[in-house]
Amino acid sequence: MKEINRTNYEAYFIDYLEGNLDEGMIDSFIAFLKANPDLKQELELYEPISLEPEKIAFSNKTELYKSNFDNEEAFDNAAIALLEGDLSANEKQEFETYLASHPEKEKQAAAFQNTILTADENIVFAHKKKLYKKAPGKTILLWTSRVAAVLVLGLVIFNLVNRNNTAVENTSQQIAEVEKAPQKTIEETPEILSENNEQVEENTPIEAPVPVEEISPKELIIEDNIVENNATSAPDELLAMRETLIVPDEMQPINASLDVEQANTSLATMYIIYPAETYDNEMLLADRVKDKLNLRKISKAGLNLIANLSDDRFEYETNDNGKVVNYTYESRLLAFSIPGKNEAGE
Amino acid sequence: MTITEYNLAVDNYSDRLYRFVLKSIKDVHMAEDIVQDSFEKLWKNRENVDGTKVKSYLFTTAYHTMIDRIRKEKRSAFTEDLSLPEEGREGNYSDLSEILTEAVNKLPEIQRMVVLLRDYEGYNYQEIGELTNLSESQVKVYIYRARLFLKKYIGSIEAVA
Repeated sequence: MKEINRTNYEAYFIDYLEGNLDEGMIDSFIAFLKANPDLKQELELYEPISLEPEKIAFSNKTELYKSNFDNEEAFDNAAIALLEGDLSANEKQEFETYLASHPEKEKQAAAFQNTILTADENIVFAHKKKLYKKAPGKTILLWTSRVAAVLVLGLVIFNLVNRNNTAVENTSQQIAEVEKAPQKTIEETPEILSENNEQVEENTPIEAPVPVEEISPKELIIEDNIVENNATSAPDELLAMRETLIVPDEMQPINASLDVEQANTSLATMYIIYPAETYDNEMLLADRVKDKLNLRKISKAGLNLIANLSDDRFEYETNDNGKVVNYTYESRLLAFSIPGKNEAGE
Repeated sequence: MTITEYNLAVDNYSDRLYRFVLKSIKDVHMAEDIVQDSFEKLWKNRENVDGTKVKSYLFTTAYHTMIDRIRKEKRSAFTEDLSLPEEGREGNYSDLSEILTEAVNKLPEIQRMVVLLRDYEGYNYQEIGELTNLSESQVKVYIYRARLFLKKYIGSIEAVA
């Protein structure tokens, strides 16, 4: 602590005026003042002087303020939140005020609007039909109807094939039974067309250019049994219907040879006449099918098969109606017969 | 869920589901597969699914299927980025939607799917969270990041153009 003297007294004075004078120095300070009355006067001059700070405000203060939103991250968050609707009412207000006063920021906030995605309605799923499901009942119905359709188709085809086959069978038998009638000449005419219509009523296959023997109408032995719907194949019936052969008195020697005499004439046009198919009666397809495939016929076919397999050991008898009356089995060792059912019998 | 409700779901949601999946994974055939898969699963589970929850079931299934496939693909040698070469573009981008599509394709998969769910279907954060098995805050973060990326991408392209 320096002693106060006339060279360093100002510092002590200032201390005193500010109230910072050390307590220990007070006594020496008072003593000094007594010893130097002119300095004491000087001190008294200073006492009333003190500076008051002026009330001056900085006018551009508002521009200096920093907002929360000046931080880039905060701004982005606020802008996105505004877009997403995540701001509270207050926050929204605050932000919108900020944006109003900062136009360049407003532009940036608007840019976030562009990030909203919109679906393109033109994109559609192409395989929708595969996804749909049907009720189980409907599925079954669909499949059974499909199966039924296939079966019906098969039946129709079978029917048509069958018809063709029986026709072919008939004609082949006809041809077999045509006897060579004694003729004056064996003139071949390629014309199959004859006066007698009965002959024509066949679905004859075309017998082209093999020469055909002329058959005179008188000696026609063709049976008139060309009933189509008769599916029975028994040659017995045909035999029964045959007319007896009329042999003329003089039999001409037959020049039978296997040589084929060539025709002198050129082939003429052949006419094949297909008669209009006449049916005895019109029947529904279903009835026709029933007719062909009734149970009796199927069972008969089965019985015939068994008979064949057993080398005719097994036989069955039918009555007039076609119903099976008796089943018999005969072999070397064993023989028995079983009556058919539904007989009004004992 | 009845058969009628199922078929109604096919009518109402098959297109939307397809758009969502297609934009997420960009592969047409895979997208068709996933849509069909999702509906098959719905059909198999029809006893357990309520008629009112059909849409969320479909989207949840599709989302998880896609995540699985993406993970599988990541394990294999090639990555998505390599298979899509950068197309050099010249001239102006006059179509914002084109730029946006490009930008969306560059997003990471989960962010992309979450944003699609938000914008295409209008799901809120909670619903998306349930669909995707994420928390709400996670969903929010993904969406915010996605939006920021998209905005910056658009901005940068437009600045160049």
